[in-house]
Amino acid sequence: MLSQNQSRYLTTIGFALLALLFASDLLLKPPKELVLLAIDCLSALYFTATLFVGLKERKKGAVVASAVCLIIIIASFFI
Amino acid sequence: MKKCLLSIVSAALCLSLVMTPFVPVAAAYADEGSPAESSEIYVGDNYDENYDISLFERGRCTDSYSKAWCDSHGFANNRTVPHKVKLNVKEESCLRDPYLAGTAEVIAGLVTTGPGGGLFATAMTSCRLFTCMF
Repeated sequence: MLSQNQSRYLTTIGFALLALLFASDLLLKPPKELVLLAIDCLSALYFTATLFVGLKERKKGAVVASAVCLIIIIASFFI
Repeated sequence: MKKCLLSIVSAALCLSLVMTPFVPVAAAYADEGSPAESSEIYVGDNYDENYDISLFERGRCTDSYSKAWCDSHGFANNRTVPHKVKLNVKEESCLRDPYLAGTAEVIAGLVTTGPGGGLFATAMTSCRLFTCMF
């Protein structure tokens, strides 16, 4: 697991972006495909950030989990 | 003569008493032969049987049984039948994502950023499933 400070920072940004997406979905009513794409991009962004922080902090578990999750998210784009 | 009358009345009484339990059953059998058209219900002028069924209308009687069966079993208005419904293509594709990517995201969130990350990944997966289904 990443350091507590970094974890809190990443999770707060993630939740803020998700809330922003949810609010814009309710107010602007964009097409479903765009919303789904935005959620996928958000999760890809989150795990890219955890991958970089994990590399910086030399946390093997966090790096492996982020890399596996990133591969699955990219694969789910095409399935 | 009196004896004769008495025996006829008692025989009729006995017969009526013996036959009483079978009368409703016989009436039900007689009713089954009635044409199904008589029980048809008006569903509106714009009713289209091939319309896109929303999630809340899944499991209607004619989705699983014949029209004749539905008419004869009290489902003439095609209300939903309490039973398992096979998922359609859209539902299957929407569920495939949380099964694979969603589970991976929640585990990765827990491993990388702890309980907060797990919660965030769960919220994201739920949001994706909701958007896909509705």
